Amino acid sequence: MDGSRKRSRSGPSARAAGLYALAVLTGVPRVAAWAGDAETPPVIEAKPAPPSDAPPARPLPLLDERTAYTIDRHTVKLGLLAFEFGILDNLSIGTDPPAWALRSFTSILVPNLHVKYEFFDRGRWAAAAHVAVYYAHLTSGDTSGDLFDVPLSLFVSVHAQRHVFLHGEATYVYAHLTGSGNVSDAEVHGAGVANAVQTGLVAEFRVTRIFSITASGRVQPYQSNVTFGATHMADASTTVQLDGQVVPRVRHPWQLVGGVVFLWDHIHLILGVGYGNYFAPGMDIPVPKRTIVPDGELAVLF
Amino acid sequence: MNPRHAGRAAGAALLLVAGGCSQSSLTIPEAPLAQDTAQLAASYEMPTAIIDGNNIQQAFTDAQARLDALQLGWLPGVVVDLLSRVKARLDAAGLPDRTGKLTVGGAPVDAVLQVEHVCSGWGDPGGPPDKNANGSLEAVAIVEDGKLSPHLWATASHCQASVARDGSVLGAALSSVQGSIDGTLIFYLLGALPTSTSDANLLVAVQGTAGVAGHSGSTSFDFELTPSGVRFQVAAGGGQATVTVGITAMQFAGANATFSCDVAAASCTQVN
Repeated sequence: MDGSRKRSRSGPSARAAGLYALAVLTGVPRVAAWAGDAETPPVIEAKPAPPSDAPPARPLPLLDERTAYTIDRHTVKLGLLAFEFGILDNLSIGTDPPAWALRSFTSILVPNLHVKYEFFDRGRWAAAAHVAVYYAHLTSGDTSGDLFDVPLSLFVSVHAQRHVFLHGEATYVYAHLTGSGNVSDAEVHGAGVANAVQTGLVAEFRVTRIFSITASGRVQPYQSNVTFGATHMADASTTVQLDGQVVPRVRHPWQLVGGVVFLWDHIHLILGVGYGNYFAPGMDIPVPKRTIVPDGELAVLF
Repeated sequence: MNPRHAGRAAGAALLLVAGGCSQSSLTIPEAPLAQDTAQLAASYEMPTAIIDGNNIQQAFTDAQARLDALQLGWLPGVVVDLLSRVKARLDAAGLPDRTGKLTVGGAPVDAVLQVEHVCSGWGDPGGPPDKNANGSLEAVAIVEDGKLSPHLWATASHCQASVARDGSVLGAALSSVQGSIDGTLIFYLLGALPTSTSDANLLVAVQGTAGVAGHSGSTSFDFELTPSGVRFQVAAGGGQATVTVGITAMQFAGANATFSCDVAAASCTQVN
């Protein structure tokens, strides 16, 4: 089983790569040489026509991180940031290991699950919905609470031009903390976003069949204040009502990241670096401080 | 389905979900007469009366006459008891009780704390809390931008409370230890929220109906609870003198001089 998502969008084959090298050497325009199809007459005609029984061109592997694309049916993807399983060609389910790994060095266990459904795939366009649920039971002394973080995402991808994919995203993040206790403990546990809307765009320039250069941006145009409230019977004659809110220090966090992507058949590697506010992968909770933003993922597919 | 239409529809649905589920921001009530209260507190520190040997005795007489109206024999205890409950709840919630600034992840916290306390009533001994019979006090404290606002207030609803006569100037002024109040109490913190009358440091302004032993009337007055004693203002020498009430004496501070008056001897001497 080939783990990469395969589409009818034919990419540059090994032959095309050879043609590309030849084109570079011979000064033929890059686009014509890269594609290796009928739109490159000068180069194509320089080679003998492929035999009629030649294997079909290998399909183009597609980036499935922050895009509308999903992994193939019955494909398992084990990544540093996400484990995925393809139930159908357009439906996958997964979980985020980093959230589970929090338990290794904190008292917090964060079970989480996400589902991605590609509900539209026609021509150059694809669209998918992504729903994730993270749960954490927070305790500190006599204080305890339950945190739900639910990012709901819509991805739209378009193979805009021969080399160019554009992946748009709109995400609504709903976080709900229930429980009672010391407000300042929220700082310890890092509860942050209550309601937020985020948008992102990834521009992917496919240099070769498996190698892309990416530029991505993400911004949070809306974030509500984090509201909380509680009623407490302090003693038989005293009732207390507390209502409060945390006003986000950064209303509109953002990040810009440049990177590279390698989509080998069984290994996907993403490396990038940028600047802005770091968004916790999966949970989509932004860190208030602006700094150098790393980006990366290494996943094995089988 | 046209892919453009699909994208627009899904995007619109997402925004509707976001708009429909977003929580409204906290509404922070405005403290009543906040600016006037701050100015009043400042006036205690800058008395305008010109007092001397000729008018101090009249000021002393006027101050004694005001003691009953100020409800100083019982109201400070009720106020401190209420504010100590506010402090306890702020502390329990991790919110600042005067100093310091609370932030969560660097983001400041706003909060509204409402404490409703059923008054103790006049029974001796007091029975179980009975809001209908004994009335209540409802205090409001505001934490804004991570800091406790010095402006607090309380609404008294037919609140009845009794305190023990202690033999001090204030206690001696009482004809009864059974007090009642109905109206608005405005507090302006000069220090941290109190835990007892000995560490109280705040201005109290009262508008409403107050009295003792069932004899109450419409009134408007103010006083300060400070570590050095209860203070109030009295008209004298063309301005306002600040009177500090001690165990057995009153001290009058004017713009030009300070006098100490022995209550039992009804005599005053200049000390500064």
